[in-house]
Amino acid sequence: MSVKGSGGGRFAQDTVAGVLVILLGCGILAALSRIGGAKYQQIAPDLFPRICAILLVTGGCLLLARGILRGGELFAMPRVRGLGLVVLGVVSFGLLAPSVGYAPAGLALMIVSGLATPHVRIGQLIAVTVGIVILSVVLFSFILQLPLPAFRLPAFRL
Amino acid sequence: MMSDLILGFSIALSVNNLLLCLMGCLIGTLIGVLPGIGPIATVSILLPFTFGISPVGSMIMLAGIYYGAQYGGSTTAILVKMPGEASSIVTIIDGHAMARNGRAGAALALAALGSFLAGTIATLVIGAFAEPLGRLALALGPEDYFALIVLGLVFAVVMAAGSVLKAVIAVLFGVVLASVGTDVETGVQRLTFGLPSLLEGVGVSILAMGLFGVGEILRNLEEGESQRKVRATIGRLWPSADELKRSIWPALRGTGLGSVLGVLPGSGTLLAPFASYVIEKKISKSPERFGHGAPEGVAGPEAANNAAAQTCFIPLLALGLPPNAVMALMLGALTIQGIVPGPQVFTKNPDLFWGMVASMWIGNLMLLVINLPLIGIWVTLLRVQYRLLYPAILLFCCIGLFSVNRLPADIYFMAGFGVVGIFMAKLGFEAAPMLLGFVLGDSLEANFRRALILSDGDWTTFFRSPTAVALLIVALVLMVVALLPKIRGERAQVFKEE
Repeated sequence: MSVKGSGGGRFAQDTVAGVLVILLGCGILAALSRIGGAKYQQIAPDLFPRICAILLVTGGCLLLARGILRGGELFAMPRVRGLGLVVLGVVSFGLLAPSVGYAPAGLALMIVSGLATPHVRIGQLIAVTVGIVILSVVLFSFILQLPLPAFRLPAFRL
Repeated sequence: MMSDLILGFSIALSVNNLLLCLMGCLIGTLIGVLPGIGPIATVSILLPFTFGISPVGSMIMLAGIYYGAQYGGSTTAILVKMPGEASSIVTIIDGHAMARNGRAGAALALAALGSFLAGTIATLVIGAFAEPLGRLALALGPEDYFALIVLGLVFAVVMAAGSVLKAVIAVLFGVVLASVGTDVETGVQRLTFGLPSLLEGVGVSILAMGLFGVGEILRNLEEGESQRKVRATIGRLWPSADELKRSIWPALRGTGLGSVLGVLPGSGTLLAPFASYVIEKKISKSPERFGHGAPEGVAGPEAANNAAAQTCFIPLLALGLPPNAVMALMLGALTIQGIVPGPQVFTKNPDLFWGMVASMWIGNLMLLVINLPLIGIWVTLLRVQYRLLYPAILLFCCIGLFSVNRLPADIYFMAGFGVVGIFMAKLGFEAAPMLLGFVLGDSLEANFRRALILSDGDWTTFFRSPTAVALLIVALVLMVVALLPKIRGERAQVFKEE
């Protein structure tokens, strides 16, 4: 499955995929090279992932060759706005939740990630965010009683 | 089997399990109806919340979500010409044509009745075949099990959409990811890069939520928001006597077909409705009615997809081999609960197996009873805009994941796998084979190592067992067949509509 992109790229999907898979395979092999050998009656712990990494590199070479020889659909980078704001929203949740609780972190997550679509309507987004965060506090803290603080603000704990 | 089924019903009919089944069916239908969220993402999101429930209860709920989503998917296929699930693509052809002819209610009822019939028969099929298959699997040695898992992964590759080579790479990537963490046999850290959060490996819920929760949202944002035109008039719900008469045999044939295809690893639930539609059209005395609102074109494929959605539990429960990504998540859920699916499940956890089988029939009945009267609500939900839905999905993903270990690192990894997911889609890779590779990776490696240890490191052990050789030959033949240019073209055609 491939999705439409923000704009046409210069390289075929297979070429880019081939290079990335080769890099991934080589990276795994490099990381595994630090692992020591097996002791008596043990199979070396790096044997199986090493075989997989070698197969990955082989697959990457085949993909790269196919991309160079046949070309095919061009690779397009994902849109920066969508990717950036969704990731930023999720990361902000990870940063805020331990210190201020999941409700304020959820507010930040929904507002930031909600801006990722060009169809956003700010007023509607804020209203839905507040509603969903209240609903999630009721659901997770009161009904499901998850041992997770909704608020960790000094003046207000739940 | 009767006494086992009675045990199952006594478990499934407990108030708690009934409520969990109802919740699963409702959530399943809801996500089948809602745009941009499928059963894989939902099961991933709900996975952490099931850790506090009993293993039977969590399986009952997750299974309800899976087959409930098939019902919900057909609702959108019929009413808005948009399949909520890939398995409902075929339902669009005649289901939506019936809706255009003012017979939307009848089409929905036929889909529900066909699915119920299929669900009832498939429940009996699971009860009858899973245990004998499990007993057969008890005789397998580690090299046989290794070969069986390889065959399962090859099926996943062959049945995945797009390039076979890319599906193989996705599986390998998943298998490598499964080896991240402390090696249980030697205590050596593998691919942890000194990160304490990776010592116990990558959690299945982190990977699944990243790939199918965050990744799916990123993919949908790339595609843009589509307008869904809802047909307001549902019409009379009960099908006419002629429509019912025309639908009975197609539903039964679809059930048989779906029951068989569902067991095969890969996209059984996707292929079954396609195959059913083609067969019904071929054997019909008036094939020209197909595409213009033929009830057989709704009842057959719907029965096939629902039967397949249920019998795909057979390889999961009997062999510990998940045939698709949702089953892989279920395997993950069971493993976290301390239950190893496979042949032993029938002797060690009969309550789990039979309770789940019985709950499937109850769930199908619930779907039939609750869904038809609730059609009005589902139609209203069809109008929910994706731009308002996805921030809420992200919130539930984050809260769910954070509630497990309270580690921000889990959230960051989820975001990271979301990025991996969108890049995989951009590069033409399917994420489902990767998840299957990940979930089966541990077992694949464990059996590989066990076979080598038992044979004193002799690699020919994999070729000395006749069962292993037979399984590996089948896997090889499948791969070769999938790579043949003619078959490759037909695969592309089958999966084009996905």
